[in-house]
Amino acid sequence: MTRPHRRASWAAPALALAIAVTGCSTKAASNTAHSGGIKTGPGVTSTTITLGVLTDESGVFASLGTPLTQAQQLYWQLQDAKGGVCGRQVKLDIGDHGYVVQKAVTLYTDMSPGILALDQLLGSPESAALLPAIEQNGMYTEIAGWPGDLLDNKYTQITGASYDIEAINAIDWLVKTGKLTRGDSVGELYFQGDYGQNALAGARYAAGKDGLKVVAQEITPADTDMTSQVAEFKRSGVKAIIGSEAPPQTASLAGVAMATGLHVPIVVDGPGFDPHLLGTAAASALKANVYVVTSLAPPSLGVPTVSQVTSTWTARYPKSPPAAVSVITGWAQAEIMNKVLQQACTDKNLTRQGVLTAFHQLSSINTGGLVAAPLSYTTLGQPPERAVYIASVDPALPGGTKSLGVVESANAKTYQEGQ
Amino acid sequence: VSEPAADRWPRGRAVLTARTARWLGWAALAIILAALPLYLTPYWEQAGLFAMAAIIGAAGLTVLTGTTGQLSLAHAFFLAIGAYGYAYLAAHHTTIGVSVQTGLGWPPVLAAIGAVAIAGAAGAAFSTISSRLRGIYLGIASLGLVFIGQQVLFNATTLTGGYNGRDVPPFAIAGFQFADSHPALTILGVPYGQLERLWYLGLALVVLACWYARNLVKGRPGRALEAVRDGEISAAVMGVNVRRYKAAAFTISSMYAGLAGVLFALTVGQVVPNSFDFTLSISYVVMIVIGGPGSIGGAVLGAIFVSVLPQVLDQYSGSLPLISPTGSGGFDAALASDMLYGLAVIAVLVFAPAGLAGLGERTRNRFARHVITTPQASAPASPERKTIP
Repeated sequence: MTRPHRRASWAAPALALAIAVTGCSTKAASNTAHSGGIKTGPGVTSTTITLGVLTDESGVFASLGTPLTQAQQLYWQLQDAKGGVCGRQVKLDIGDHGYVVQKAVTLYTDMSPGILALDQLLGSPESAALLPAIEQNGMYTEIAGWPGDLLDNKYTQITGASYDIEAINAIDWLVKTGKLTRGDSVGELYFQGDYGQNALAGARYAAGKDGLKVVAQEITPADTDMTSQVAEFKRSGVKAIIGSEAPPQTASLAGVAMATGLHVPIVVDGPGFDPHLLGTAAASALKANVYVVTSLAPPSLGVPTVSQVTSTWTARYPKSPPAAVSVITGWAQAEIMNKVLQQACTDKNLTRQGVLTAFHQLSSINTGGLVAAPLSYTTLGQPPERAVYIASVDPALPGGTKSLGVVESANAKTYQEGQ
Repeated sequence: VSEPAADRWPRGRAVLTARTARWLGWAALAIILAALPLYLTPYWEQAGLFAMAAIIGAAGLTVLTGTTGQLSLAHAFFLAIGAYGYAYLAAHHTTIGVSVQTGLGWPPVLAAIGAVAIAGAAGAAFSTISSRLRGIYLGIASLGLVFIGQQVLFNATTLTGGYNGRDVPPFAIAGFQFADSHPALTILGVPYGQLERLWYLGLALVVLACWYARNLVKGRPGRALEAVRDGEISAAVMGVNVRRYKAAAFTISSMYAGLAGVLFALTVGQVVPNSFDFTLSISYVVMIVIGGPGSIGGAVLGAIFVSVLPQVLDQYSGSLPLISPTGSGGFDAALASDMLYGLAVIAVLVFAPAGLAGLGERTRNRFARHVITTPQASAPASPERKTIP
């Protein structure tokens, strides 16, 4: 009984050793190749281009990330039906990080060997965690956000004006329309981190130029009751509030302000508004006092390109709510990715380096109104454009906002990042 | 293989065979684990490293909760201290854009030791409270630490980087960096980058941590701790200094958590407050409960179960029927894996009441009765569920 057992047990480590030493590992480094006269790299074959998407479909920003990703999928489905890009079909490798940093890192590690570029990276802590790897891989990355801090990073792209420019335009618009006058105080409710602090920098700049005083209140995404912040705004006698937060905080801010009798205009950055809010108790407060400032077109804007996106969206997702700004954002980003890939194709270089070179050649991209002004990516450290849409909240319209026009103030034009 | 062994050990042949078999089994496992980085994709290397960090943390918690009977929900707090402590001690003072990150620029080895020491000190400080409380009251009090910790992590921005956290400098021993280069390293044609190198660091730390915890639990201090768990008055009567032992258990457990935090931080490369919230504490309690409280082997199995299963499900639930692809907005893989994970935890608790360790022992005994005829192996070690008060 014992003899065969002992033999078997000797065999175990021997076998393990044998497999370990003789077995061939399949871990191979990816190399550049040539295909049809075009230099290709990771994520590119003779028939397909694979792009990565790192989004949030199950975490706190799911209501923004899900439609944004669906819009990108829809864009590429239509593009593939038209023959794709560079004679190749575009496939998306989608990862849902649920706004959890270690999950984003794992997903990126998993997908990065097989993708040419990132069509979407959502979440500022996730971006911060992934930037070293992105830089190391030379990965062109489209950020689903508008942080000015990333403008001098040559690997990342933002679609429109950065948060600081948004805040400057918002304050200048409030002054121009008589809602703020010299000597007034303006409240700035902002998230800790690159989003809110970037907007605060812009607000401080514009306030300095316009002779206003900024009352800043810092919060984190974990704070959802704005009672004490509103109380502080009221005590300081603010005549308007700039909000750089997420939709739940916007709802609380507008609701509490109205309930406590602080009737002042509240201008929130694009990520601060979501049409879902119009189904909550805060709807009437939002309608009365809230404005949205973003470079991306309100879906109700009556220009042909935007209408085409929203009608395509409704045809494809008839059961979903009508297209929100996040759909316009996803679409515009995919559009820019398309332009980048076409340029790289013209340069006969579909490698990561080729894509980056192509990206930095793009200037005056006309998105047909999806973004408030044409976009240029030729100068590192400069926002691709400096105009924004100002919109009021209107529950009757698809997307929940109504454009009041495009604003590109003198201060926004002359502002330099990091000032 | 020839047969000299029988001549060398004329007596107790069967016993020696069983022991040799066990050693050879360990050797095989060691070889396999050491060779894995040659084959695993980065995704699974990362999953493995998360599991190793979890094993170290769970081993610490099982000493405290399983052996000593002190329910602690503060594990996430001590992991955070280890992770942030390492990042702070090892990083150099830098200014990135508008944000300033402070750091002492210590050599990584010292920083890691320092981080574990700080976690231990924090545990020792809290043990003045914890040794006065027990059961669910201690659980709630320790939970308070997690909430305080979250506030500190969010608001002490120069130290912690605030909401976006701070990056973690790579580990290094005597100039050999656990990063993708410095020096470049290729073994059997496979480039050894950050994850491959960390893999061996992780294995070494796991072996060290488990060996120490096992000796602690099996030895005299372990018996004293068990006595405390089973009845503080009777333990005191037997001459055990109850308060001192409870404090020591809390301190050691915190140091284990700190070490787990260091390994976790090195694997992710970025520490953020959200990684160390209340749910992490719960995960650790789940690990030791489904592993079998008080058993180091159980903690290992539980940690692997809790940290690797969701990754397996994430990776493969997409190929299950009725699952819609990520991005379609339906019942997708992330949702399915969450639900399957929940069901798996319930299944373990129902079908393996003594935890995974008990299940393993049961299987081994059944197997052993058929194959080896040694007095030790045939006496079934009765796995009994240890209570968490």
